[in-house]
Amino acid sequence: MHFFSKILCTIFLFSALLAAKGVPAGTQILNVAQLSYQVNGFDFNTTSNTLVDVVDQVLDLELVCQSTQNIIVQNGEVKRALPFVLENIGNGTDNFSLTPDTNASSPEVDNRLIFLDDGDGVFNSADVQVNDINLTADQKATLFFVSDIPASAAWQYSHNGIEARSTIGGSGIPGKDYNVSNGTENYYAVDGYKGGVESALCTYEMNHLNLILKKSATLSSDRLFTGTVIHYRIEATVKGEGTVSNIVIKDVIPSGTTYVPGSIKLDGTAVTDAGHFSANSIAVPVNDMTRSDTHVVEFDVKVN
Amino acid sequence: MIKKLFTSLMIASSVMVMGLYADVTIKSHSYQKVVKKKKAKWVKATKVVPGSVVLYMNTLKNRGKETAQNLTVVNAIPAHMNYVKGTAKCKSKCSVTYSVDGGKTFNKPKKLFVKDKKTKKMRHAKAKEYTTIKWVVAKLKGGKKTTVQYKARLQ
Repeated sequence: MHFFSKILCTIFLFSALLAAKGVPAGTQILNVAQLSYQVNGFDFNTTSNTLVDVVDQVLDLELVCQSTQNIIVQNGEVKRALPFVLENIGNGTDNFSLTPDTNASSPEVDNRLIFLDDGDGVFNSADVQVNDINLTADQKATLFFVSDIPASAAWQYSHNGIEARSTIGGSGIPGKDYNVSNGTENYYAVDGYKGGVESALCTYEMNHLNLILKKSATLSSDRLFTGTVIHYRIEATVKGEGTVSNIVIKDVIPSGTTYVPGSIKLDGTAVTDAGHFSANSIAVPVNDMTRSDTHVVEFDVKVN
Repeated sequence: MIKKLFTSLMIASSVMVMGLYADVTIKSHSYQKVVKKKKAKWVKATKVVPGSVVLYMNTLKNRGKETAQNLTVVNAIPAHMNYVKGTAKCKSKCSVTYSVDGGKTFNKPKKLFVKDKKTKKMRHAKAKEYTTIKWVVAKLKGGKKTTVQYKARLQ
């Protein structure tokens, strides 16, 4: 049959294929009719043949990224997971091959694998790596696309996911049919309107974790004179996801000025000079900070 | 005794003759709509998937010589199928009635009622709630054939 004609022949199936769920594939639909009639006043009865139609299988699936937000990653991280749910929305058991899928224009990640969730919805060591999966009609499975983030990655976003393809069909041509058997009945399998294949992507977002320091100065007079006190304020904040550890805010006393003893404050509270001022510089530890934290260090100097 | 035997033979031969002339058969077929080169036609059903509409056609053939009368065809709608409204038809003149109680009683659509599962009140039956269809064809001459048909959608 000419290819174009084949396509036209299959159009009638589309409306049916959109309603993929329903009577299980392989089910027998039986039609039989009874006939009664009269001839010359005598009654007669008869029965038709029993017509048997076997329900064919629609190969259809739905694959959806389960994260509404980007997954934040950092350079050099290993086994970072992107969550997906695959559902067999056909009317029979199908085996789906699973292939890691990276958007053509996305930066590469390393060691791409797919894992099947153990039931807790969280990627962990109990999950097993898979290349395919069997799903009965209407059955769902949580899958993880897992990869390593290159240590030298300079990208901001990378879109990655899974391609799931029916191994019964999966030609990508909606309406194409295949002969299958469930062991007791032979029937057709028909690619659903997605062609028995679907892919979905989630997004890694690179976390460029930064400590932001904002320094300002206030003078005790309109202009700088000998004896003018300069009040310095250093505000520390964090941009990005994660924790910046062991932070020490340091500053050097400007030349031509002298540190005002006892003027160092952390978040409005005075701290001792001992341990925080030496060798013409200040050093104030604020330990660990995340995006929600803000610390302010203040100190005064006097113009010589 | 001989007279009785003769009478019995006459009755038996009459019944045999009646049987020979009263040979109306019924055969059921299923069809599916396909679109080929922008033209729709019904072909033998081979790919029935959920949502598919199937045309069921019962062919009545009078292989005898006598005219058959009051040909009544009763067809239960198959399990997993829903009758498609307004599709029960006959090739020749006939009357069509429906049942919502598995074929115990038949009536026209306007007189078919079912108890609503939610409200528990009686309401008009929907086409997909019909369980059985009955066609009555007034007569079929010897050597002739006719058809009755309906469409149903696979759940």
